[in-house]
Amino acid sequence: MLSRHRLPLRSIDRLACGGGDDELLTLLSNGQFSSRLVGLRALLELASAQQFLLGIDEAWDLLVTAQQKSPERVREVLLLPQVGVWLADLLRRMRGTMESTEPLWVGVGYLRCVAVAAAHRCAVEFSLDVPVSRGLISVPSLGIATMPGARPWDVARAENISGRLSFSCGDHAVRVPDDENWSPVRRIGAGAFTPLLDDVEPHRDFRAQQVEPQRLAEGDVARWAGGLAEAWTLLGTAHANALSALVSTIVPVPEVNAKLYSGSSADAYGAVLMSEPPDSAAFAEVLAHEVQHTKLAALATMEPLCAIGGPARHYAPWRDDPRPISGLLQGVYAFLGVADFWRERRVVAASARADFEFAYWCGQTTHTARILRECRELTKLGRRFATVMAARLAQWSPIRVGALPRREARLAAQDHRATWRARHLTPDPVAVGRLADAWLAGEPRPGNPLPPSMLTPRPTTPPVRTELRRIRLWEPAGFAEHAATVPTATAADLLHVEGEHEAAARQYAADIAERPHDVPAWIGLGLSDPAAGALLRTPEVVLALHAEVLRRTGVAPDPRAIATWAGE
Amino acid sequence: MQDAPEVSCELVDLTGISLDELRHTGDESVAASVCTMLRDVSDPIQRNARMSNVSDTDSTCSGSSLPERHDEREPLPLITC
Repeated sequence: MLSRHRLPLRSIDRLACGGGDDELLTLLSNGQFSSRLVGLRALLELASAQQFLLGIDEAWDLLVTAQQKSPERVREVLLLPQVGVWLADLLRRMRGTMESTEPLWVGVGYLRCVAVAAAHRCAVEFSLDVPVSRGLISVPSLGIATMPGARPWDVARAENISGRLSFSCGDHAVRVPDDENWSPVRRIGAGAFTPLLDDVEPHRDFRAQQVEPQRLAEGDVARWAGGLAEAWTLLGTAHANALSALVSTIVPVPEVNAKLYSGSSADAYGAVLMSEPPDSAAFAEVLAHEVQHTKLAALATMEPLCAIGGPARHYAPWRDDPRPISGLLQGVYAFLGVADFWRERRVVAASARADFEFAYWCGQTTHTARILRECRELTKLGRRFATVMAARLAQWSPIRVGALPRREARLAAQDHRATWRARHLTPDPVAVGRLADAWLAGEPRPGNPLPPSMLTPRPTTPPVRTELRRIRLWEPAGFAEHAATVPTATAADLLHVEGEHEAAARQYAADIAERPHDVPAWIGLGLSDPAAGALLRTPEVVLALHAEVLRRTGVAPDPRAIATWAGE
Repeated sequence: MQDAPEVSCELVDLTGISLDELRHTGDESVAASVCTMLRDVSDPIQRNARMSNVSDTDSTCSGSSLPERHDEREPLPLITC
């Protein structure tokens, strides 16, 4: 019987601290390779029950031949994220949990394209039928051939003779690498990190089953390469080593809502999707963030760290919605990496930006890590991992940053937590009724503490004040100009972030009078008026009380007065 | 676990066998890992837990600096944080 993977606990502890030694990174990669092979074996078993126009056996034979010549190169190809996405989605299709417009024989036949990539890399000569999908032949990590005259779903012949790869379909042929219908996947490099910059492979974007090529111009590629080279110099050794060991592909994608986007997936192990960052620090931060996800996903593939699908939901500072335990685990680890990145940056090149980002993420992630380590859905290993993460973050808590970034980070954290509470917590209506009785009778607030609340997740919108704080810290001279580009910022928000707290409080109160359910305005009032601190501690109670008084009397009470009363 | 020097993982170690051996093996641990993979791959919750920066709401994985991704396929997963 084959053995199981084994992982040294000391290495896992170092991983939980945010790093990971070379031995563990190799073990994580080995685990991913085993997982990929399990997936291929699953495909073999599912496909054996059916007949396909392009069967699996020939592709498997070619992979075997290539592996005999160069096991390492075949492993590199099989570990490609594009292969992972294809395989996972194909298994879903074959299990009936995903639909596709692509014929199943084309999806199954893609194993032949994988074999072509491996055999070509290993200098194995071959001649093999391969599928044409949507007019393209995709050879992962090498490129795509656009087949003139081919039908959307078709069969072409791939040949590798004397080191020359070519594809033919009907009367047309595409000869690699010089053919105008061949688009190679390009590679960019920085030090030991030389990822593919994949803008053509259909399975490169794990968010969709298959995507069209979005070919970058040479100038764009040069800009990505330059950005990576600059970002690489900003990354610490641990992040750089992990990127070199685990990430093979950067997939450029458009911004989302005109903002920087990044993402990764365990299906697409080794890929980082990202839009073009605005500067090298943002580029490096994205890489530091996503490689943490990659490491943790690799570990979780080998050994579960928590139960998936449990009912518990918690506050997470990186999201506006309540999150499950698996999300907390991934987020704490990712933002431990982000905090570590900014911790190192502020040592090398101190700046208000580095101070703020470190203080904000270290504080927020420390808070969440303490919650996480107590969660019952963690496995034994997961609890150990969470405990080590919390201890690592606690080591950084004494680090002091500049007064202004520290203050802004504290306000941003209060803002996010209070907004989350106001949106997702509902206080006991009976207790709120008693509060309303007392308010209307002109009595002091009864009861201490305030009534308990239940989690009732609701739709959210991202807060804008943290974005304004960043703009003011990074570019104080151009604040007014840049703040105008933040679409949902209010006049009160601008006053608050500029430090005009009394004016901001008056404006927020006026906004609430017009829009009693404007949660960001309520929290802004709590941030701006020291007497309205209840809006930061239990905003859901103040909002519910205000609504109850309005419901009973038809007259909206003064928001500042009722918040002050609730906090007494 | 506190005293154990290493973790024996759920995942079978296939790094020592060839693709040809993988094709023909009747090893029970391979069958068990295949079973687990097919179970997980069929579960949309498992799939969502595998991806970062995705959600069922307009929220964000990455604080206010990074926005939420948009799902382009229906019941699909990311490493969700």
